[in-house]
Amino acid sequence: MSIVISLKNVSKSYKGLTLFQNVNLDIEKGSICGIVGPNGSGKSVLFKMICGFVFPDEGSIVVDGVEIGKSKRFPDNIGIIIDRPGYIANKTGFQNLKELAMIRGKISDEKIAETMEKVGLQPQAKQKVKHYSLGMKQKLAIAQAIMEDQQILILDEPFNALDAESVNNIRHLLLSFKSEGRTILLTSHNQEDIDILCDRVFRINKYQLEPVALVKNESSTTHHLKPNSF
Amino acid sequence: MLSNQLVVELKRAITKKNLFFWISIIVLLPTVRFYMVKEGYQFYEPIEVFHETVSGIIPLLFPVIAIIIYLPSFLQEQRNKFITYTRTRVPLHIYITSKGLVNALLTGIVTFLLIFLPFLFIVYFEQKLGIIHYSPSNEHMRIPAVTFSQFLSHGALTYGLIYSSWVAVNGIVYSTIAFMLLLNVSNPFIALSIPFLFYHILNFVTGLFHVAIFSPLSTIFPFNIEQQPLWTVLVPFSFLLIVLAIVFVFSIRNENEWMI
Repeated sequence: MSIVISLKNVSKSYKGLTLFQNVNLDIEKGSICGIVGPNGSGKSVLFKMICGFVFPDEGSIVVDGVEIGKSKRFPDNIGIIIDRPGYIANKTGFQNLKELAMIRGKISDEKIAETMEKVGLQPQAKQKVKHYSLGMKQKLAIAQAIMEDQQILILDEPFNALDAESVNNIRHLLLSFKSEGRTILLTSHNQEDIDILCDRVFRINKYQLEPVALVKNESSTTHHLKPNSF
Repeated sequence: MLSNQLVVELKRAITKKNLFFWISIIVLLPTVRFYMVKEGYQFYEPIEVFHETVSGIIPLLFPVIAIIIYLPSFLQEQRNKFITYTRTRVPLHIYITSKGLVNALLTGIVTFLLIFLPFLFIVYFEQKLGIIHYSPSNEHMRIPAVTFSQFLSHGALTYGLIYSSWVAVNGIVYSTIAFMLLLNVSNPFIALSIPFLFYHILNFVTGLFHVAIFSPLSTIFPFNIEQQPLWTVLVPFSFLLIVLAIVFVFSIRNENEWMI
């Protein structure tokens, strides 16, 4: 399998705090990779470096064959959820997605509506995002990350605030993306999400990414992953 | 890429709701003032009516008017981290530059029309409607000249265009300063208040030192003092440009700490 995301000897300090020292990581195409670690360990900063939002102090990050920060400021074809959902409060969910989609002009209104339905939102709803629940805002964040068929998904706590049924639906969705060959890097504080979804897991410990042995068997995965109800 | 993003931002900005809001500003403020001055004043020339119409409310609220045209929508994006999710679609500097340019363009257009449409109406159309009663002038009477009416010798339309453009340029500078402050100041209320405070404090200070001819009020809306040489209007404007340049340089250097 080809390597889609590659970190070579990456070191990073953020606001005077050392987060990473000589980190190496290779993520293969079509895999789901989990990053775990306590609050403040640097998961978001790691994701921001891969997206090109911040740059490593040392080392290099190559995404889809292109070094971030050299010829490119951010990778093409990447969908993200970082920190928390972002939105324009006084617009509807559809209008929010439409305004993001207009930037690249790659997808139609139908595709936006279809994506909203996929994540469990109603595209025709006139409800403004300021009246959305936290879970609905999270679904909107997931929708913007996937609506343009992004091939690399960087998802920081994608299951935050979702109800059990929606968690199940999004898990199905992510697994279907994996089977399509999309690459997913995610964090979750819920071990079950990690167990069900991830092919490989790394823990941030002492400024390094340590591989974590996965306890994964077919029966536990199928037990937790119910049939999709959406 | 920037031109594409400019088109996108214009499409996003030009909504029915925003158009209604901008037209309301352009029509309502001068109309209210026009109806306030149409009685109780003695006018000899339409240009006097125009001066009175764009005095009062508009000069008092000028920095606020410049700021509310586009920046509330930017604040909405900024406040709820929307901009983070544009960053995988367009480089941040392109996005912010396009926002700044669209802010300048729309502020310029609205503030220009805010002055120019009343000018057109009063100078060219109102007399046909006869809303204002003009007193007959005589040869001994002297209508006081104000700064910028030097351009009247080139024709009323030239004056109207130049003066409206002058107000628009000032509006652009005030709203651009506010835009860049929004990027750098963590409290948006403070960021948006600074241009308003700057405008009124400078008016107060120049009055205190008996140099009101250099106040922002008297150089952007020079109807409360007698005619001054045109260079006088450039004094506070140059100061404003220096402030703009300082805020711009600071913004560029502070990119990593932008409130986005």
